[in-house]
Amino acid sequence: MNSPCDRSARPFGRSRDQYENQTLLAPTGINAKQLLNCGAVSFPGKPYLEDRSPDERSFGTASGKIELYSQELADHHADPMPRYTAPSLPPKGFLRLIYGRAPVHSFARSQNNEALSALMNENEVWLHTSSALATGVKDGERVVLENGDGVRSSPVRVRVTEGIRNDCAYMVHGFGQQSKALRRAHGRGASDNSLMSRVSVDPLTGGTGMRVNFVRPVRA
Amino acid sequence: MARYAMVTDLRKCVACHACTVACSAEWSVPAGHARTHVRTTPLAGSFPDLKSSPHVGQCNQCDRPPCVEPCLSGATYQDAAGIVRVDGDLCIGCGFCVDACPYEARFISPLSRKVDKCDFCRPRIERGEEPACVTTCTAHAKYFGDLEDRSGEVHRMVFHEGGRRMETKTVAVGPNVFYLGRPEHLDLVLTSFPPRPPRLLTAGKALQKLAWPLVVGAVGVSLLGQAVAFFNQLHKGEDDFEE
Repeated sequence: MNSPCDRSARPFGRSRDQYENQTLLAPTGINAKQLLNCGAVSFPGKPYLEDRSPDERSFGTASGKIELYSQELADHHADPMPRYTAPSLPPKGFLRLIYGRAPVHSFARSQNNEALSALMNENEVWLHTSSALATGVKDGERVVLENGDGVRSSPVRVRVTEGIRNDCAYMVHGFGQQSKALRRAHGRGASDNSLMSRVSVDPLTGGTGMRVNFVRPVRA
Repeated sequence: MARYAMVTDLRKCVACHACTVACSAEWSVPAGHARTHVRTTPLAGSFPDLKSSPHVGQCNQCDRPPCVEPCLSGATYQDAAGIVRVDGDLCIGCGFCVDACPYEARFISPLSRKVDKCDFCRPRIERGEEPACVTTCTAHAKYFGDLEDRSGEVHRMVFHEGGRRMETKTVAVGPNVFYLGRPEHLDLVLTSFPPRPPRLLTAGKALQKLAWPLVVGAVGVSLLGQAVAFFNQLHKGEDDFEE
């Protein structure tokens, strides 16, 4: 595999220079040499609606608005309004694996940060009081999670709480890092990703649903 | 003269700890310690009717600071603007003020071996800046200002919007960090993290402990001196007393 610094690499069949200048940087109007010279370029964007004048405030839809009912989808014989489809239910003894963020960390990229790992250096698996009772695991105990396909996580501490449904298990995303180079984050907590052996894909939009895996706590 | 105060709106706080990180970076607070800390109350109730609140703690720059009296060396004092400060040159790191603080806002720094605490970022205030935690708060939940400035937002929040002190009947020392929030959440914070009665007695006893060896030592030395004089005299024999 080519290293990212290998100047002779030919990404997508183009020379490195062509790739950088024509593919990556062309929309910005600067070239790689200019970028290397100045180090960083900032572009005044308009990420907020308030940044734009009223006539600029439109979306790329027929109505120019966010469309709950899409005529475009109806014309393609698809459901013009999102229609609820019930998800499959967890098999007996399993809990739906759901995941989210902690306000301390950003995605999976801040777990090795010195200041932030000092505040939170591992995740926990949240279990409702009744599901903890049913599986016999206790608050603070370390368990391994096993999903429906037999995939097992690294050990993770249990938090027994009333703050979750009794058919779900929750984890903060971004932990259970496997790289030893992440010396503070390596081996801390468990990875929710590793347990997602199944993903459901919306046939219309291609959007993915990843809360479709079921896990059960197993004593480590 | 100003009377500085802070208001933390717990309805906005998301418990991201950015205040703690900014503060620690600003003042090089050693890892494992903090001048300001974020805690979340235990959940009250059962699913799905639950109650919980974050709480941001720091030195409250109390009107009647219980940490000043037990300070042996006079390092801890309250300045004219109401900020409780520590003179690092005088502090001997005895820790009596740490025991006395009802809000667990003081600690002995393992680097300097002296006491460290929040001083509302005094040096930043003097430069005309806001405290680091206020500037960095991602949710804009922290406000800093002068209680005597009647047009200021801190005055408005404290006197007109019900900013509340974290005080109990037993521990009421006039903290100048005020909190906004739903009453049931503020009650939950107060019952989960109540101010601890100042351990002044402990400090007094510790002072006795420190003083006692000195007294014993002084008495011992004087007795020893007398004994030496006595045996010296025995050895030499009594001089004839001349009229």
